[in-house]
Amino acid sequence: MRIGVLIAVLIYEIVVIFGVGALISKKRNKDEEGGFALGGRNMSVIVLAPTIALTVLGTAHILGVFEMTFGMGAIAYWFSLAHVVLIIVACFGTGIWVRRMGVTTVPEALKGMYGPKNSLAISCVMAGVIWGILTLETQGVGIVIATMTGWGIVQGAIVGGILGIFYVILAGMEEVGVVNVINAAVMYIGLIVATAFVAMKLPGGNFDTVQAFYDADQSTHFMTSIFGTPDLFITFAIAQIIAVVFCQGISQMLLQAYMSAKDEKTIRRSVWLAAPLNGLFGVFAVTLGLTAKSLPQYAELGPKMAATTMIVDMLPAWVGALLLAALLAAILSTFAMTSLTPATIFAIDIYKSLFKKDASEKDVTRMIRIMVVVLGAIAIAVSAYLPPILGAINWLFAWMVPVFWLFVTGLFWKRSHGVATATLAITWIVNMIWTFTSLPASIGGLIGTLPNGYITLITSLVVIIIGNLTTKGEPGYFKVHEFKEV
Amino acid sequence: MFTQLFIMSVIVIFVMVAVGQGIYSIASKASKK
Repeated sequence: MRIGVLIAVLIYEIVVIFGVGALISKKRNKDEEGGFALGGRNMSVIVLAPTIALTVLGTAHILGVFEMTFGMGAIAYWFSLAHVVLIIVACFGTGIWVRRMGVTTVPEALKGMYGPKNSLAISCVMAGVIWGILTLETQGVGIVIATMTGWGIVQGAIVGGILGIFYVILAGMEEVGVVNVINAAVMYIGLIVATAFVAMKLPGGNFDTVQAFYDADQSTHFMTSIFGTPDLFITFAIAQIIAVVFCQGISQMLLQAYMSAKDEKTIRRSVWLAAPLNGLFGVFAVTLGLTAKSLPQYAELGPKMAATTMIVDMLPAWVGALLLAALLAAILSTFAMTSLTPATIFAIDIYKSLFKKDASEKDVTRMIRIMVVVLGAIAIAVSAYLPPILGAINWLFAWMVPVFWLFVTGLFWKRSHGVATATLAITWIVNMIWTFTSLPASIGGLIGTLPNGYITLITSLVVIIIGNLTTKGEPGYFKVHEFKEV
Repeated sequence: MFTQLFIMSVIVIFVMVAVGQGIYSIASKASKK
């Protein structure tokens, strides 16, 4: 076991998380509205951009991309590029709109558009979906710690989960933002140094032999191009963009960062830093994945173990520690946001909205803190019994597709409470049928193999379009409410 | 290989952001008219 690596990384995490948390919590005005959940809506570009980038960069970007690269080559990089498109859509669309509306949660924005009952249903499902992602991040942190140090997955998940809770609980959104700035720097230093060390261990001290390995065979030649083959580009690259953008583009998990921005201009400027910060991570993951497959001793271990085993074998202890810190930076930042955001939804849309309408800022902050601990603890408890990460993420993402389209059409086209209820109910039922019955298998062919995201996209659009064309409804929210740029 | 992937990625990312910025500018000008 690499106990020295583990201790060094844990000391680093504890110093940064507790140091930043203590400093900010001393400074913060505890009565300021949205102070804990939204950092006082005062995030600048330098804090907002890394927070946006790291919130949607987690376990799937590391373990998932290693695995996908093994099977299909560099086109797996489109999983990262899909998140770049997501960040762009949010920075010029959904993120700006929620900031303009001045809301604290996405269900709060939808309450004004589709009424309290639909909003409550969305609150419950959205919090559940984000918590599902939290359990996957907890599993991921356990796997990464276990692979790189020899520790058990459960112990890794417990220690990682506790660090993740402290990442957010001391000072809320502002703490997450500042720790993210430090971690973004550590993440890229770790990735660059580790990739350079792997290259130095290869013949010639660079990746030329890896390129030569794929070029030598016509059937693998396409694997070093991020555009892959035309078939793969349509079935994988475009499919990733659709799934990620329509599912995460409306999620509280990402949009809480945008709600915390100083103003809309800050959001628009952040895209130039957030997009490369998020997107370039995939280049390192894809390069390491391609290298592992080109080396027979690691290729025989299969897609799940090849890249991680190669990294552990090739890197000296100090570089291993740096890389572990880098990977934990990616996963813990997502853990922090996936625990803070469902806790915020619970505190604002359920606790304050239904049970204690006169709750003060202190009451709301206390409830968020309690929920962060409760949600984090349950995620740690169940993380050992989870399904494969990528399959689970695709299923979870599919639940949010109808919410994305209801939000967009409700802002700019038409709003009907009945259509919203029908869209949510029908889409979610179809999603369950597609997952838990043999319907896809009995349909067969290309349609039978479509992932849940496509099914919920088609169902949502059909119900919304037919519903809006056949019912009266109210005009789009932005058509009747004056919102000035903030 | 790494350098080629890196340069290609930087180009693709910034082209995507520029396209997003362009669409946003056109849409906001159109909505002000």
